[in-house]
Amino acid sequence: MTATIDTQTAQPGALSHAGTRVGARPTVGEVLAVTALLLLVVAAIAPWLLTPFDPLAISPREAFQVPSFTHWFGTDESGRDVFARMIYGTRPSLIIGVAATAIGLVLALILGMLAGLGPRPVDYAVTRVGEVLFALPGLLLALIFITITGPGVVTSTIAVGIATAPGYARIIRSQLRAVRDAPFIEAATVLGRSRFTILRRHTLPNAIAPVFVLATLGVGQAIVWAASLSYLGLGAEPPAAEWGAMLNAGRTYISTAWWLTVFPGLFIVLAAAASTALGRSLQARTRQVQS
Amino acid sequence: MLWVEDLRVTFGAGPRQVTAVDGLSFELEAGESLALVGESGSGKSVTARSILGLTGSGSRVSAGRLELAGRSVLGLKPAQWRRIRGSEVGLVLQDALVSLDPLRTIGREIDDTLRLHTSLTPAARRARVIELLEAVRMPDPEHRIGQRSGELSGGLRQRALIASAIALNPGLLIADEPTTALDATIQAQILDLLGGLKSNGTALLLISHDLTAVGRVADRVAVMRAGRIVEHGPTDRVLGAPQHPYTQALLDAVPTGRDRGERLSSSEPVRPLSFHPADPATATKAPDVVLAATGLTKTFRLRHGTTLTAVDDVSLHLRAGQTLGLVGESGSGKTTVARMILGLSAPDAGDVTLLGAPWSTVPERDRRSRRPLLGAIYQDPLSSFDPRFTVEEVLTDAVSLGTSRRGREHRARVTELLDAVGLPNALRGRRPLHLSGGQRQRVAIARALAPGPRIVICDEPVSALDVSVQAQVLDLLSDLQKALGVSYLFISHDLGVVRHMSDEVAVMRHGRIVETGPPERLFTSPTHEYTRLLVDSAPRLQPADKDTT
Repeated sequence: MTATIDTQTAQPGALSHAGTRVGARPTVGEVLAVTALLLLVVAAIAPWLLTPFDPLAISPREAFQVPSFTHWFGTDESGRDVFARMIYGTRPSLIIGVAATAIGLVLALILGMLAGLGPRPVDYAVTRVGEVLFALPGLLLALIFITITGPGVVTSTIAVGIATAPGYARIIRSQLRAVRDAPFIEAATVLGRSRFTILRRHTLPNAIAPVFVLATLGVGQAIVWAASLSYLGLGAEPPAAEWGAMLNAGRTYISTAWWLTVFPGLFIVLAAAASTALGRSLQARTRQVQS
Repeated sequence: MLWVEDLRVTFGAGPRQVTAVDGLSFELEAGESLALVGESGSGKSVTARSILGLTGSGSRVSAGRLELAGRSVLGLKPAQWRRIRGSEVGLVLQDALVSLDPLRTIGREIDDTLRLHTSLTPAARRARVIELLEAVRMPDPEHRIGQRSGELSGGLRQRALIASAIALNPGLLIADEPTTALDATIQAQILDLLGGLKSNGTALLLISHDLTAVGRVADRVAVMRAGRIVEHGPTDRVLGAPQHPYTQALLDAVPTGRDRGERLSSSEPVRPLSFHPADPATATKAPDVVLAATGLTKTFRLRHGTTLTAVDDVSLHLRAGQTLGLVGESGSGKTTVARMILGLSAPDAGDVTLLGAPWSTVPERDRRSRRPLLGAIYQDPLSSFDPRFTVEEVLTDAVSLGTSRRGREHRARVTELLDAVGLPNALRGRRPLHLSGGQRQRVAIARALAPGPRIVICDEPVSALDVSVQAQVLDLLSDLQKALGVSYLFISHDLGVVRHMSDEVAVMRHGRIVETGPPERLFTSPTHEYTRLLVDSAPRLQPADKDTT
């Protein structure tokens, strides 16, 4: 269910001058992943381009229709077109994934910089707290947060963001620590640069660039987590078209109307797989190889 | 013992095929030693590897003849190669720290070969291991046998590696850059040790980039370039009266025994920089001593509560337009001195003054405005550049004193700098990663000069470079000094380089300066015993060579 952030692969050689394969030709997998993501982005921005149906229009007479040429993914218990609901559900699902990752990154930047650049006691405190959070599974951490704040789209997004933050924070901290001691930082000191200039121009960009690549991987994970929370009824709630919520609503009819659960599940897998695949190849392409 | 005829090694296929070795022929008899000499990329290591079947996947080895002890080794299977390696051919690599397993004792490393290839009992093997360690003159072998490679010094590690290579009495020993990572005094010992093995009838194939080092042990020298042998003959003749212009150029590039000011390469002299304030005329009016370090001391706290005095009461005086050479072996404290002078680490005692004003005692904030007076060049230029920057960005940043990275107004100065250090303008858009070692060091020199410094600290600026590239960089530094009147603190472990570059030399050992003086006196009639030892171990060309140049 979870796509874990690979903290190991982010580390080695991050400082070294690197030969990248940024310019290499795309692989079949990369083309597929980008195509799938582009379609999802279109669905999120302009869902009406992809389906003529209204995702909320009830039509009880057409309830529980099997997939057909008219209703590609069938209809649900209220006669709503499942394909339309999938398409319209892309926007909230993607926004939750991206927003959660962004929240996680911002939190991680603050914590990582405190630990990586701050005095030793601060580093110690932040790192220990991070380790405690790290010990808890991310989804559990999100659940704890929701227990405190109550369910809803906004809180579940923030919850997922908080849950991803410790991982990113740890990487940012170790990157900053490594870059801080790099010879080119010393060279900048010898050239007479101030501490702030060095931080802004050399330390931060070199330390943080790899984290953004990693965040692409994190979006897929966040989508899955957000859908999980909605499935548990803690995020988006019916009748809103959101994949996790749809999955939950279709659960009641799983023995009679398989299309109500299979398609939302497929879309979650598709979105997560595509963004993970893209993240992986971005990572490989910017991977800094020891020269 | 070894007969190689028309050896060819290629990598890759189709249009990307690279020929590393191109029609090489030589032979080597028992008890004889041949040195393959060449610069990086000349194919010398690949040649050595093809004799061991270690060229790796993607390579194609072909030869008219490749015979080892009378048997052809062309197209052997991996299992057959394994039987030959160790028993018939031993290999000693450059970096013993990498070649030895850090988790195993050296006793076990050497024992491995014996266990795999012989049927000796454990007790007999142990006796043999000690015997081998004695043969490589490892001090206290009974004790060392239980130590891991990390506990040994570089020289002792290299001895252990040689012991494991000769464990089975191979007829041929291949040593690939066996002394490159070692200090001069240790280097001399290891070379003598390798030379001594010949008397047991072992043939020695020595691979090196260092002409002066091979002269010490090799009977014959083959000079390689671009996969071919350009000159081959007895050591005395090749080093003393080279026939081929490339050999001549290589020998000319060796700074050892060459007077200060004598050019080592055929590069063009440089023009002065228009914006550089310190031209020779003003330099003479400047205060005589531009940089003074007095009583510098630095102590590091180690684990277990012990302390190490890395620098102990060091005083140096650098005069305007001159070069002060600081020579010493690894761990002598040279770099710690450089760091204190650069204001990167605060001395525990003593102080540094720059142009007569306090430097080490004031806070960094007050130093910053005077930073442009002091430049630095490092041993590894690549790591001193921000990996995200192109050459142009590196230089623009330096020229603009950190105010911009891509500013147009600085283009002309960057062009002038590139020109001054002899770099083609076309390289300005590249990243340093994609430059050669010599080009990178030129960029580093350009960056150091960009703010118009009066003093440049050069910490081992040429030790990672090939001898011909080293010659060009040394010439460049000399030319720039002449044109700009900058002063250098020139730090190196290489006596020849320091002697060639310096007006005054200080010899460092264990954190102290043991002797100072003008290079001629210091190197011809050293008074301190350590200086004498250094001078005696320094590799040098045959005396015959000095007569011809």
